[in-house]
Amino acid sequence: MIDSNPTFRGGLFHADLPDGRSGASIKLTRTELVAEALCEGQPQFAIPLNECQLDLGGASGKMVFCRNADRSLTIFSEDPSFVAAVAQSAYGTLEAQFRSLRARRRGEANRFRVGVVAATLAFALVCVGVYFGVLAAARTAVRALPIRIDEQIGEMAIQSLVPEPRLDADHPATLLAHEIVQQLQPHAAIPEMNFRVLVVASDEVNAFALPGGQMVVYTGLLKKAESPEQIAGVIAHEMSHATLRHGLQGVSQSLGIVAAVQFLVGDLGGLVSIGSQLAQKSILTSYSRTAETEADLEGARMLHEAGIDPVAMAEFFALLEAEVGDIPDVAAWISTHPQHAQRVEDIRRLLQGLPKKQYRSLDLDLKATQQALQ
Amino acid sequence: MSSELQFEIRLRPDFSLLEVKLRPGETVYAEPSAMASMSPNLTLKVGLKGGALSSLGRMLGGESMIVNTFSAGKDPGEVVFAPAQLGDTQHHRLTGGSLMLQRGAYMASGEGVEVTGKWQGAKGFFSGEGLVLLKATGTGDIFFTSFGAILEIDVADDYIVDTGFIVAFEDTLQYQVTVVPGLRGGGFKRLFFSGEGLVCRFSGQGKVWVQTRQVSPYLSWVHSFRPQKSS
Repeated sequence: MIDSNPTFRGGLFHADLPDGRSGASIKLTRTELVAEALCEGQPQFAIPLNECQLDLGGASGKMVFCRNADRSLTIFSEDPSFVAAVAQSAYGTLEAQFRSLRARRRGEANRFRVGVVAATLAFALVCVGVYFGVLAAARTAVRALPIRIDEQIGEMAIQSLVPEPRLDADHPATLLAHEIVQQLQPHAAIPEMNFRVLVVASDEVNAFALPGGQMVVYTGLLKKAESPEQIAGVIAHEMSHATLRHGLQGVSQSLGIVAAVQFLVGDLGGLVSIGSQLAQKSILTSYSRTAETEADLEGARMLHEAGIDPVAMAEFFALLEAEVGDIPDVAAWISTHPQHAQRVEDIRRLLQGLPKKQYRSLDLDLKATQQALQ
Repeated sequence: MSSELQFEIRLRPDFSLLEVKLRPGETVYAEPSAMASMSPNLTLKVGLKGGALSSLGRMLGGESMIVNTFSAGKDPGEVVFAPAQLGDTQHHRLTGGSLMLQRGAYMASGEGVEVTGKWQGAKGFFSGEGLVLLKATGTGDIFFTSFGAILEIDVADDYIVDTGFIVAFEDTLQYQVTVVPGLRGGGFKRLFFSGEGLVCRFSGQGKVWVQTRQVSPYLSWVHSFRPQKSS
């Protein structure tokens, strides 16, 4: 009778076995679970089905354990057909035990999943919190530093970041840019800053400011401009980056993020040094959306104070945007800058808050300068 | 049923060596480069064992795909295996059940034992034990190694082991990755900074082997003595 039943591979725990355990071959009769130990002597053990206590577990969570009433004997197997056979045996008396075990196991698995998701979310939240915390801390910290630091960083960066060839100091284009800087300087947020301007001979429509007041204007931008006021708009915008100390903020924010990542993740060593070299230019010369908007508003304020119509700045943005499709180089300057419509809107809103003023036109001959550049 | 190997584990626990005395016709399997010395009459074969899938599983479990086979011909011989790390070697006789091993813990096994990898998923990730554990199945002898000495614990109901200290456990034990019970509700601070965050909670009946040292804290301790780079 027993031999006609299928055999399952499994194991058993009992105090009489060497080391208390053994692998076993298990058979299921009408009334009993019989296990034959795979150790010396091959002793047999049996549990009457009507006193069988079931449990699920094991490393896979799918192993079925059957214990006798006093729990001195445990017979177990992971064979899937064993589970089905036990559940259907004894005229279904064990079916109810199985159902509650499965429900409990599903509950545990769900709790674990929820735990994993919660832990991942918590970690992500900490990362986001640290990121914004560092950005804010860096902005505040930079304001407390002396301007001399900006100037030193700017001077170090000129060699590596300002391309050749550069126009001479007495070239009409350099003189024009210099004259605009002179007129705007008294109205800058930090008038004592050492503002200087270099003109780079390149058809790229580009301009940027280094920390400490060194500005760089490309001849491409001077040729593209329709009026000296438009150039004044761009220069005011760049001077604002310097006076708002965005370059230093970028550096300290990046350093802060790197330090925070190191704190969270551990030493990043070589990766950091490579990354910092790659990032040097972009950190010093391209800024976040927030920084660009700040520079727009501060630039517009400076132009207003200097008696130059800030709308010229907006006009130049519009001019650039209209031509981005045709001239790929233009994209360099405009790519990091906020949407044109939004910028014009922001500038107009700022002007509404300022006292009405009669704007003057700049007494500069842009046409002659542009001819000198041909 | 495979016969039991004759062996002796010497110089325990810190610089343990496994000496296997092969009777004529017997075979022992070991991970590459574990062999320290051997009788000249034994033959060594190199190859995958148990097919491509189980070899791949072993590799994911931090072992080599290659297994070396040492066989005695008509004369007996002996072979000595040394673990890669400083620590103990433990013998376990499998009788049809399975043993879960931490990454890289496998050193040698007798006839009848199959070693492969077993995917652990998120549980493996959070336990820090790796996504794949090794699983040894069959009937025969298996030898695994630890960092430091090995403590054998017979779990009868519930037991907690810090994730980094687990060397091996019988697959009759269920394990869950969880937070130290005292830390529950103790907030993130204690979870992140106590160094006692995640643990494995074993439940059921079976053996757990725990090592007395952990590799990564040991490495950070050594690291603090390294000379600083001068550049």
